[in-house]
Order: sequence, then C-alpha cells, then structure tokens
Amino acid sequence: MRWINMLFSGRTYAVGIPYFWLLLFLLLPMLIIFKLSFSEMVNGLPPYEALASIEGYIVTLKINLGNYQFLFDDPFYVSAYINSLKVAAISTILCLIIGYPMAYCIAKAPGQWRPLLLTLVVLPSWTSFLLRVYAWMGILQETGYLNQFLMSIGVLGEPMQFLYTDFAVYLGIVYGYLPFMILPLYVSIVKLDWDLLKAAADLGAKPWKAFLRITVPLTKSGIIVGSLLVFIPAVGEFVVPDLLGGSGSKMIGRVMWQEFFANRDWPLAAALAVVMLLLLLIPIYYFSRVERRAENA
Amino acid sequence: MKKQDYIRIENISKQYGQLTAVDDVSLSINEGELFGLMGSSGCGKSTLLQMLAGLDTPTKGRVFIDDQDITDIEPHLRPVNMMFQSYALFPHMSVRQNIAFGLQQDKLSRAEVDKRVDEMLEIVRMQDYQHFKPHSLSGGQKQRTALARSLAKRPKLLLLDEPMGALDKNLRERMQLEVVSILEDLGVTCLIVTHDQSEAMTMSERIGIMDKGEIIQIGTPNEVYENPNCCFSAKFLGSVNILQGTVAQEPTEFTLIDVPEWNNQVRINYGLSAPEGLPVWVAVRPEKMSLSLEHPGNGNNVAKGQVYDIAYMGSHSIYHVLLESGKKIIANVYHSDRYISEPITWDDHVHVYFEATSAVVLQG
Repeated sequence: MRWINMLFSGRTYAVGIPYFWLLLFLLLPMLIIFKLSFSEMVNGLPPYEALASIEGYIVTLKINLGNYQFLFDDPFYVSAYINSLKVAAISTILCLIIGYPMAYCIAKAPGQWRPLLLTLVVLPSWTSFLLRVYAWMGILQETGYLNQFLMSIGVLGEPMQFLYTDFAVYLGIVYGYLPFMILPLYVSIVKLDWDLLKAAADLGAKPWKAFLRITVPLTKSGIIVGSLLVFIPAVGEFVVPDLLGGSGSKMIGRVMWQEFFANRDWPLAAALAVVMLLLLLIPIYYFSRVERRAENA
Repeated sequence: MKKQDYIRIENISKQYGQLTAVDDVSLSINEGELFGLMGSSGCGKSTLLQMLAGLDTPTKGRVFIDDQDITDIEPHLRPVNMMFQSYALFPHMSVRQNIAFGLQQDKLSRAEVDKRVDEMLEIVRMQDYQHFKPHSLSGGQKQRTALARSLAKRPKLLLLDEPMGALDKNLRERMQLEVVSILEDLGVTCLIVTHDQSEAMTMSERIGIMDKGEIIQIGTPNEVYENPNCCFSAKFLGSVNILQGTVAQEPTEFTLIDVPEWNNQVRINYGLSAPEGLPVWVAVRPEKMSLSLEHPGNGNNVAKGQVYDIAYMGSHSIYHVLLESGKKIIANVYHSDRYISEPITWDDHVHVYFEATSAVVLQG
C-alpha cells in the first residue's frame, strides 16, 4: 500500500517533477553528446555518421574512438585543456582572495546593512553578462576609459594593450564569477560564532593564527562551494576568452565552439565536451569527499 | 604564602559614548581566592570581565596582576584565561585538541603539550572522551572541557563568565561543587561573574555586588547577606522585608525607630550614632520573621496582620501577611516537624514578630 500512498503524496511530485525535468534536459542531452563523440564526421546533414545502422537483419554498431585519440595526439587540444584548467584555477584563487574579505566584512557589518551589501554584490547580474563583457571591452580598449585615466594621471605615456590579453581574460572571469564566490562564503561566515575567535585570542592565538585555525576550517564548506561555483563554469567559459581574450587565448570553451561551428566537426567537439566533463568530475568528487569526511568526523 | 592583593583593579572605567558601563571600580583579589562578582544584566560586570580578558580596553584606570601592569597588554599575551558562558569550544576540534590549543600557541614542545593536556584531562576526568568532538558531549562534559581548556595555560587569573548558565538546575548544583574543588586544588585565582546568587554564594569566598557600573558591597557571602550596606544589596541577595521609618530615640546600646508601616516603634539592639528624625530602612530577612496566633510576649517587635497567601516549598512555607497598615510582609516558617496540629492558614489573624537582633538598619 505504501507505493499507492507515495503516488498520491504531494512530496512525490514536488521532488519528482524537477528530477524529471533534469533527467529530460540535462541527462538526455549529455547522453546525446556522449553518443555523438563516438561517431565519425561526414560532410552532410547531420554532419556525422549514425552509430548504429541496420541492413536487413544485421545491426552494425560502429564505435569510433578516433576522436578521443585525436584529442590526445594533437598537443593543441591538450594544451587547451591545461590552459583552461590553469585559467580557471587562478581565477578561482583570485576570487577567493578578493571574495573572502568582502564576505567577511558583509557578515560582520551591522544587521541592517547586510541585505543592502548583499544586493550590491548581485546587482550587476541584473544585466546580461554579455552586455557587461561588452562594457569591459569599452573600458579596456586602446582608447578606452582605463587607458584615458592612466594617461591623464601620467602613469602611462601611450596607450597600453589591455584588451585581448590574458589579463583581460582573468579580469573578465573574476568579475563575472565573484558573486558566486561571495554568496556561499557569506552564508558560512555569518554562521560563525564570534565567541570562538574571542576564545582563540584569549588562549593566546594571534589574529592570523586564529583565522587559520578557527575561521578557515569552520568556513570550509563556503570556501569549497564558492570555489566549485567559480571553477566549474570558468573551465568551460566561452564568452570572456572569446570577447576579451586574444586570438591566441586557448580555452576549451572557445576551441569547442570552433570545432562545432567553424569546422563543423561535431563528433570531435562532443569528445572535447566529454573529456572536459570527466576532468571536472575529479575536483567535484574530491571536494565532496572532503566535505563528507568533515561531516562524519 | 598566598599573596595579598594579587589582582588589583584600580579605578577602572569604561565609557561607551554617553553610557558609563563601568564607573570607577576598584577591586583587589588575593592569590588563590574565588571571587564572585554579582549583578543583574547590564550592571557592567560583563564589561569588567571583557576588560580583564583584554577583549575590551578601559577608558581609564589600570589592572595589575602580581604587580605587573597588564592594562595595555594584548589579550593573547595576558596571563589571563576565560571560560565563556557558551563555552566557545571549537566545534571542529576534539576535546584533546581544544585543551591543547592554548598550549600550542606558546611554542611548547609536543611532548610538553601532550603531558599537560593529559594532566588536564585527568583533573577534569575527561580521559575517556578525549577524542570526542564537542557536539557529542553532554552539558557537564562540555563544561569540564571548557574548564580544562581555560586552565591548561595555568593562568594567573581565571575568569568564569556565568559558569553554570548553560546547565540545568540539578547538574548545576553538582558542577558548582566540582568546579570549586578543582579550582581550589589547583589554587587558581578566579573571578566568577554571575547573576545567580546561589551560584555566587556556593562558589565564592568573597562576593561583590555590582549595580549601574559600580561595586556596591564586597564581603563574604555571610557578611553581605547578614549585613547588607544598602537596600539594593539587601534586595539583591535573597529576599527581604524593608520597612521605612525614622530614628526616634538613639541611646548608645539600642535604637528606637518610628515605623508607621509596622504600626509600632521598632527596637534594634545596637546604636546607630545617627541623629533623631533621620529617615532609615529596617531590613528583616523572611526567615527571621516569625508568626504566631497568640501574642509572642514583650521583648519582640510585634505587629498584627492577616495571612493572605501561603506558598508551600517543602522545607518551609512562605507566608504572605498583610499588616493593618497595608504593608505586605513575607515570613518563612520552617517545617521541622512532619505534622503540626494547628497550622496557621489562609485568612488567619496573626502576630508577626522579629527579635531586636534580627534586623539591620540601612541608610540608603
């Protein structure tokens, strides 16, 4: 009888419908990409060969591992992965360095100020990300505001190349993903019992030591969640390197776009996506294990 | 030989804008003494505690420990440790790590830290729980851990902030005695801050009563209870009947006081050296007020009244008596026998009386 009850309970639908939605629109496309990555590229529509073909009673399954081999043979793709991971990692660390003090100050601010300060953090996201990246182009370009300002105060004699550099890529990613770092950090810092820091000081810990041994471990969940929320989308980031990065800025999101749309090599692009997903599973798995261990201990 | 005036707080004040939280407080504590500082919330006792711990800086005044001026010393360098009301145990560390935390800050060798942590674990009887995290400990175990952590560095002064505040009543009474015996065994000098009078009286050798940023009276619990120096002290520690009157006659060996509320003159068996007509307050503790149906005879201060409420407490009953003047008096009647043939009950007309030696005259 229990399953009958479950069938009619509201909770089943509240949980079930979103899961069904995810299954349909997340898992299914992923499976299609996965399938696609084992196909072979052809000139035609669609631009790939079907995996299975039926001829009379014979079903032929043709699995092409060539795309994967090609990815690892060509140093271009390997270096694109490494570069993406590097850019994402450095951006995550920069976001953490900038975001932690901000989140800390917001959490320490008087209660009536906190909602306003938090709103200011998310306020830029009320405008389209693409528009904001275009705005950065305006700021960074040779005749842009940044160069004008630096020249007017005499720091620079002639305009400097900011746009289409690695600097612009880091700037764009850090700018875009900072709120995703600050919000989870804020949530974990605001829960911190300030008496613990007083106790640490009372027991002889210098402020930085108390920070490392008390504040950081107790806000670890915020640090991990924030880092994942920045790192994961940053690895596959396309808009920022495409618009702000130079022609040589090799990030995997951009390479994927080129393979899909410029080269029309869908199977290779799919293989690129699958490998990227696998790469991302490693940090996610690692962090979730750290998290679980912290909870069980 | 224990040092006198080991802790010296000299004319310390703390100002928050217009508000004076602590007003020119001076206090000396002897080495190894357990001193209880009492006051209701907002009286400045917590601010005083924070200043001793170095978590707050005084506007004015100095603090000396063992003749060393510590007023401007950073909290992490002071020979002072505090046990927090919430215990403030580090949730991500085990009992052992919590106790070791303070010692690790002192650059002691690992072996030395381990040795001293083991000592502390033994003193507070937490060896079996040393690898537990705080969330899996009971209230009493948390408190023992917090105590061990604050004692591990062998502070010259230990501050206890509402030490029993987070415990329920039964555990509280047991822990009070346990904590005191640990502190006395170690000979630690302690300042206990609390609003709970039974806690202060059980745990301290001397108590100080604080109100509006000032210390009003200092003495042993017995001195403060039996000889309060003002109405606030008398009311703060225990319950009390206070009768307003004026000095009528004042020979050296006794005093007569006109007390309209008592419908009679009140005789006190000591001289006041106060002028006639001076307004005073006569304070009588409820356990020193007696009730009888018959007139108790001369030599007592007697008034007539009617019982309007009785609270049965087991060991005693609290009688509320309305005097003819309209003044309400409380009297405790102790039950030394299990059965009384004719107990005084509701609406009985009674004589309320106290001896000349039972009352204290207060002048403010």
